[in-house]
Amino acid sequence: MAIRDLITWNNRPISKRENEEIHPVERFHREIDRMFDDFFTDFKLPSIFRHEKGETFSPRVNVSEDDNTVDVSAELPGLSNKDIEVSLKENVLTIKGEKNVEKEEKKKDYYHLERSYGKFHRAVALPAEVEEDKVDASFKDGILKIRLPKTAKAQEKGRMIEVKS
Amino acid sequence: MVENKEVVAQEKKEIETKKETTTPLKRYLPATDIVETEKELLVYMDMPGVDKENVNVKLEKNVLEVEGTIQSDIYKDLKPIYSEYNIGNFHRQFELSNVVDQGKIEAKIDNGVLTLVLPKVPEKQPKLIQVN
Repeated sequence: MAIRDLITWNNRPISKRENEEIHPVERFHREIDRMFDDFFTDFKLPSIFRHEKGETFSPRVNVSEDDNTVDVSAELPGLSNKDIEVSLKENVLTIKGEKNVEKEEKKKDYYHLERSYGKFHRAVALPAEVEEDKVDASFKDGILKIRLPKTAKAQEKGRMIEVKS
Repeated sequence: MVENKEVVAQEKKEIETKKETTTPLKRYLPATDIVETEKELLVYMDMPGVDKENVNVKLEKNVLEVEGTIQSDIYKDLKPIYSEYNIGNFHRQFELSNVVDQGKIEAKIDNGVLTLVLPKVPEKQPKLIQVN
């Protein structure tokens, strides 16, 4: 394992789109948020402390929203919907499961090994309050998509406040 | 090889190419495992978001080319709050040796993983010689 991989909070470049459209201050703000988020969800012990069987990986997620819903998606190729567990508690969404090596693959010679295996676990703090019983999760072609409708309160737009002279 | 197994979910590798493309999407190198058995070579490629209709496997002059296209329009109306991965099409090619029986290559895609079965030519497979 390269030393770079141990520094998990530092190796995510900001995507180009964010660079272009978001104000630098806002971007800095988000980076800090993400740093904390990553620190608590993504932190992994160096391999010497990890038992071989307990290998884990943390899937990357994309979070997006519109006026009524929050969407969370993650790329989890090679899994089926039975392997994934999604739960929601106190506005934190947790995705976990296990990805196993293809059955026939175990006793063979490897030439190339780039894909991730093992248990995975990821928690995402949601940006708005959501209706816990109306969450919809689907899994297709290796992509997990979770739609979380916002509560009426979260959908309210901020009120304009008149500034008096 | 197995000891060095990377357990961190890897960042998708973008293909840096000078080739002109007509789509605005990025192109990524699908993460690939290649394993060998006595009779065949097995290639597993992670291509999340690609279904059966949108994957092309082409064999030309010993080069096996794999191309997977995603449906990007489902992402169009989304306002990202934070994104840790980017989306794009997948592309990768491999040069085959004469060990592979090129006429018998099989491919299937399931849950975003493309599996290619490349059978070895019978002459290259291990043989048991009977002792009389």
